[in-house]
Amino acid sequence: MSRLRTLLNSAGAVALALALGAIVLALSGYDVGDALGALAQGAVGSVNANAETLLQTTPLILAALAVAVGLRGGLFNIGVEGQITIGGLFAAVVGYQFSDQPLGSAWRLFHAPAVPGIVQMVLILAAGVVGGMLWGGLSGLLKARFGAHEVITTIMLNYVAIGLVSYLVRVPLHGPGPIPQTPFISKAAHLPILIPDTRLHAGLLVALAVAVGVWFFLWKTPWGFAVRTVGLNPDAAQYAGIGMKRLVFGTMALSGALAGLAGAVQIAGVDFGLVQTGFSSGYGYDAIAISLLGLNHPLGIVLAAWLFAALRSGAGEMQVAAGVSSQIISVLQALVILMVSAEAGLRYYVDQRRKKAQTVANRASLEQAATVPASPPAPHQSSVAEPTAEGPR
Amino acid sequence: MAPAVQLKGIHKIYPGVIANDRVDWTLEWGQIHALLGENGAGKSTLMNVLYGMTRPDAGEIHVDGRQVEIPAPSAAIKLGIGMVHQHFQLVGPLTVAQNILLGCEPRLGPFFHTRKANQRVADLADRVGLPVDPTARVEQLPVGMQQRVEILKVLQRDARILIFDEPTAVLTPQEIDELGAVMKRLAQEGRALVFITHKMREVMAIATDVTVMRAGRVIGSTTPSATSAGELAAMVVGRPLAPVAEVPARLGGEVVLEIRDLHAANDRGLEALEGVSIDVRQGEIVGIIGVEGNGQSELVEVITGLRKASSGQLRLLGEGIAGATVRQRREKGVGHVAEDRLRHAVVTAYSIADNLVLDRYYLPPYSRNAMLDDRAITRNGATSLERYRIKAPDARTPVSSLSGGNQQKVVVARELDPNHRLLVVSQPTRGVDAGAAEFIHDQIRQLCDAGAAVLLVTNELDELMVLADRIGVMFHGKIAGWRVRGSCSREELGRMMIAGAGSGPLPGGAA
Ligand SMILES: Nc1ncnc2c1ncn2[C@@H]1O[C@H](COP(=O)(O)OP(=O)(O)OP(=O)(O)O)[C@@H](O)[C@H]1O
Ligand SMILES: [Mg+2]
Repeated sequence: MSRLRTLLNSAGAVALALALGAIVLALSGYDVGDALGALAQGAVGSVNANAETLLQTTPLILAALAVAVGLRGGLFNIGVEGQITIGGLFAAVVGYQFSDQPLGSAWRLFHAPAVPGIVQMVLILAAGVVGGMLWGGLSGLLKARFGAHEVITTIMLNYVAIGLVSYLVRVPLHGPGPIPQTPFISKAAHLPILIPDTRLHAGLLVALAVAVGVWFFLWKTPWGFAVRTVGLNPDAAQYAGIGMKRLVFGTMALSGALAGLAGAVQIAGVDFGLVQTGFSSGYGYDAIAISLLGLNHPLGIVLAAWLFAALRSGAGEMQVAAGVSSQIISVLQALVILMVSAEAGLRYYVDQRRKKAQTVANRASLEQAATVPASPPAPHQSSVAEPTAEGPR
Repeated sequence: MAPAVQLKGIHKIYPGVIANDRVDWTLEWGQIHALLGENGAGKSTLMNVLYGMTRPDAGEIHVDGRQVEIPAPSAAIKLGIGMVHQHFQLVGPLTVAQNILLGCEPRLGPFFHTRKANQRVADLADRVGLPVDPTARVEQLPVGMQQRVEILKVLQRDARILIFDEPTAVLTPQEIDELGAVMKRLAQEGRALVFITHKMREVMAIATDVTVMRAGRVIGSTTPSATSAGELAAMVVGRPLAPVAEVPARLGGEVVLEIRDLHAANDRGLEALEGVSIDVRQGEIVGIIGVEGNGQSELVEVITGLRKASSGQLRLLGEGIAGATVRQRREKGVGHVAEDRLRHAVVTAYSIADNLVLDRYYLPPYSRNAMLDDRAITRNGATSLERYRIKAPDARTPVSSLSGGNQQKVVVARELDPNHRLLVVSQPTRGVDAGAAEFIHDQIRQLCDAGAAVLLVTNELDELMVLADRIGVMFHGKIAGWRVRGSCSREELGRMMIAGAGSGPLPGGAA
């Protein structure tokens, strides 16, 4: 099974989902052409549309990388949403300490000297990483020490994170003004804009660099080797001397750190302060679908994240220009996920068909060979196809 | 009468390998037909074709004189073909009767009719002479009994052609004898049996006919009466095997592994080791044998760090290691060939090269400056590939596409490392051909001569008799007695394994 074919299959699944989506649109009484046109317009129709799509791609890449690192290590981190939230919280709190605006009733943790913007940015992003790492690491610790299943603990910690933030921004972190939100970070700490007159910021470059970093970590470092070994065969990992407890903790902490970075990037690039609700707006859940669609591989994830972002940002235009309910977009996304899972079954079927065809072809060539005086074939003959070791590298 | 099975021109190509090269082969009714050949010769592939698990690229299958298509195991079952898999396909928590009747259960309304099912299985077992307890839970049965359940499952579907792919690899000597008797009875009733094995002793004792394969081709057929075990082995390997040199039992030097009054529980929390004491010295091979379930597996796990001891002492070169992690033990020089290779010893999705560094990937030269060195890993893989004659296109081939014996060679190549001080070797030649077994035995002896201490745990009496300097028989979680090589017979050891009796003097063993 070649890597290219897997990729093509995923693309096929997406195309099929869009086709089914079109049918759903038609059945709901919309003009399919108008609706899909608006979707495309909103997603890629202008410089600004492209910038908005890439803006949404950024946190999705980071969040999906968080999921992928967990899955490669055999851990199902459903708590990315909560880790993004805590990462955002840490980033916002550290960030506003440097603000020269009044803080309202929000806690001042330290008196920040006037440091350059770039230093502030780094500190904000680092704070997000630490926050996510703590939150993810907590689930890792619970699993390593007490055997608590990470699916349960990460879901629970999602609720804790959201409740915690909702309390904090209303009381001890309430900035100036009536809206419950933290004070804003200073202008100097905003991530630089990549395309003038759009909101697209340098967080995208951070996300892409991190994607490369995750790839490097998983496939080129000894720790990545250990993570993948545990994910593929935990019994063999233990037998080979890999410390399972440390590894479970480390994998969850790393996964959380990536999610926390997503939260921090949103603070430093888009939101600039933490509002009471809707900070992450479901990035952590989309991330699971994106990671699976992207075959838990950084390259696949970047492409899949862009696709989900395009659907997200096209949704607005579809709603405004074609009057399509935004829920149809959710249906579309659900269809993509459904098709991707169905694709595994499809692949099996296609493989069977292909094998049959191959058999017929080989038989034909053999019969042909039989008419010619056959020379005995070499005992082992190297043929063209090179077997792939263990998935995409 | 038409032959049971006739294969004509079966051809199967995998990337880089011709697994079956226009194989013609005939199986007659009433035969127990042994299929022999080196690892990777194509035996399993050929039988998988017959059972519908692999589609051949070319060739015809005739069953009972009629040409047939077998696209899936279900088609094979309809034709009366059954396969006893090496990895049992049983549902552990279910009873024997439930397992055997799975898919065609007698019902009482919507429910499983337990009484009727038990009766039916008892009748079947009676008819074919394979007594089992229909109400026993499968996971609590010894391996030999589980295999019997597998055989009954196949017979229940009226299979007249039975394929056994390396059925004896997991059995103890007594269980092998029993299986042989069962197979002979099934053949006498007119069924046709195929029997894949690497043990010439079993071929001579059980088979009626023999076919030898090499590099995907049939290279010859004979009968056991027309040949000898040595001749057969030579035919398989393509060269005569050197007779095992008679070396007097070695005495060994300083104590490398010291075990004192070791206790440990098994997975079910029951006491599996009830006070084991063993010394393994530098330059000696200590063999441990016993009927499955007498604590051998747990002993190995405790020594290698996969299981905690509940009490007792464990010292490596005088240093206590009872609390050490697996990695610490490995770094102190403990190598471990695990008995269940697929579960413990390989990551099948990884390449051969990656599997060969599974325990040392983080050390130079495989990792440098926090980076894996793929070139060094591949080079190491290529060296072992050649040295151990692992049959694969190259070191980047995933282990999942290797034949069973070649997977075992990967594990052995990694663990028989000259830097190891103590080798804990469980079933080292499980599934490998006679030539490779000879090579592995030589390696173990050489490492031992170079100063390693070896603890060999095996079900195979022959292996034990040629390798071990001292033999301890395990019974009910204890060492029931010690024998020195050369001063005991197979029969005596067999008796000790079953009865635990005969605790003689403890030559060189710990008091
Ligand atoms: N799924 C597969 N993909 C690629 N190659 C395969 C696959 N299955 C088998 N092979 C190759 O086909 C050849 C024959 O394998 P097969 O399993 O039939 O050997 P075997 O005679 O049963 O050996 P053993 O005694 O070790 O079990 C081997 O070289 C093996 O590597
Ligand atoms: Mg085989």
